[in-house]
Amino acid sequence: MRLVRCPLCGATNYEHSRCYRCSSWVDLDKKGSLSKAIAFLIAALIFYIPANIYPILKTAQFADTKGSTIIEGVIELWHSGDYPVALIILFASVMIPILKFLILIYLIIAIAKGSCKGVEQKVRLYHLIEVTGPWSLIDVFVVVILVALIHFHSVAIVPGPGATSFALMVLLTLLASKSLDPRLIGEDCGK
Amino acid sequence: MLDLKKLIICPRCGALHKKRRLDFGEVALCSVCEEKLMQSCKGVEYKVLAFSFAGIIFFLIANLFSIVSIDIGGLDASMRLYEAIYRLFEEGYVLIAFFSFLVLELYPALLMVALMMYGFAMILGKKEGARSILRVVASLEEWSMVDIFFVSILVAMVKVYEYASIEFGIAFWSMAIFVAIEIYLVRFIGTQTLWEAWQRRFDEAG
Ligand SMILES: [Zn+2]
Repeated sequence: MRLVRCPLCGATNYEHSRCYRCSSWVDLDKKGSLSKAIAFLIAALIFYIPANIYPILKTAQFADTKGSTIIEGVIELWHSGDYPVALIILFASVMIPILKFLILIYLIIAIAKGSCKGVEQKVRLYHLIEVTGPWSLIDVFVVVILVALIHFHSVAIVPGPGATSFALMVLLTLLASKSLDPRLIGEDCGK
Repeated sequence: MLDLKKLIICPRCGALHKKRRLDFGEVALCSVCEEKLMQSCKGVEYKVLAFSFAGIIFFLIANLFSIVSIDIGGLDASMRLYEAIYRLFEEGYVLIAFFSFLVLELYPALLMVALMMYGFAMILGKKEGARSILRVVASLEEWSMVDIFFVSILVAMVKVYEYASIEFGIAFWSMAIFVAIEIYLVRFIGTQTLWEAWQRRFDEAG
C-alpha cells in the first residue's frame, strides 16, 4: 500500500484511509480537484476583464470626477516619482494575476496529462503562486483606506465599479489555486 | 505494518524519512531537497499561549484606536479599521466590505483565540479539544490578511503624502506588532509543529 501525506496536518498515512492524526480523508481526488480549479479559474478570467477596464477608484473634486483604473494608478505613481511603490503595485496588481493565470493553466494541463517532466519545478511554481497570490489584494485595501480617509466636501475618493470585479477576480484565483492539490503534480511518477 | 507515526513525507519532493527526536532549537531538513521537514516542538504550547495572548491584546488596540490621521490644507480625517470597512459598506460596496471584515477582523481574531485555546488545551491535557482546535487553526491561517492590509496602508500613504501631512496612530504600531506575532506563530512555528507537539504529548506519553 502506498503512503500519502495528509493534506491538512502533514501526517503520513496509508492511502484510502482517514488520517490517524486529524481524521481528514487523505486520498487524492484528481477529478474533483481539477474540475473545481478549472471552474474557479474560468470565473476569475471573466472578472479579469471588468477589473481592468473599469476604474477601481474615483476622485471627486468639486464638480469634477476622475476615475482611475489599475493601470492608470500605476502610471500615476510612476509619474509622481514614487518608482519603488509603482513597481510594487505593477507587480502585485498586474504581473501576479497574469502569472497566476498562466501557471494555473499550465499546471492543470500538466496534471490532466499526467506529465512527469520537471515535477520539482512545477511544485515550486505552485508554491510561488500560493505565496504571492494574496498580495494582489493590496490595491483593494488601498481603495478601502483612501475611501475611508478622504471624504471631504471639496474632495472625496469613492470606490469604482472595477474594485468589486478586481477583488472577486483575486478571490477566485485564490480559490482556484487552493482547490488544486499540489500532491497531484507528478503523481504516479515512480515514487 | 510500518509505524506511521515515526515517518514523515517531504511536502516538496515526496521523499520518505524516519523521524527522530529533535533537541531544543533543532530543525530537520529533507535529505533530497533540503525542505524543512520539522522542528523541535519542546514547550511550544507555552510559546503559543504567550504569543497568542499578546496577539489578542495588540489586535484589540489596532482596532480600537486610529490607524492614521491626515491633514490636507486644514481638512483633517482619521481612520479606524472597522470605520474603514463600514464606510465601504455605506458606499454600497458590500462584497468588498464583507470580504474585508472576514480577512481583517473575524478570521485574524478567531485565529488568535483558537491558538490560545490550543495552548490551554495542551497544558490542561485535553486531547480531543486540542485536536479539534488545531483543525480550525489549519483552515483559518491562510485567510488572515492583516499583513497585506498593513502594506496597503503604506502604499495608500505614498499616494497622498504630496498634498497631505500624515500621522500614524497607536493602532498602526500595534498592527505592526500583531503582524509580527502572527508571522511568528503561523510561519516560524506553524501548524505542522503544533500537530507534532500534540502527537508527542498525547500519543507517545501514552
Ligand atoms: Zn491529517
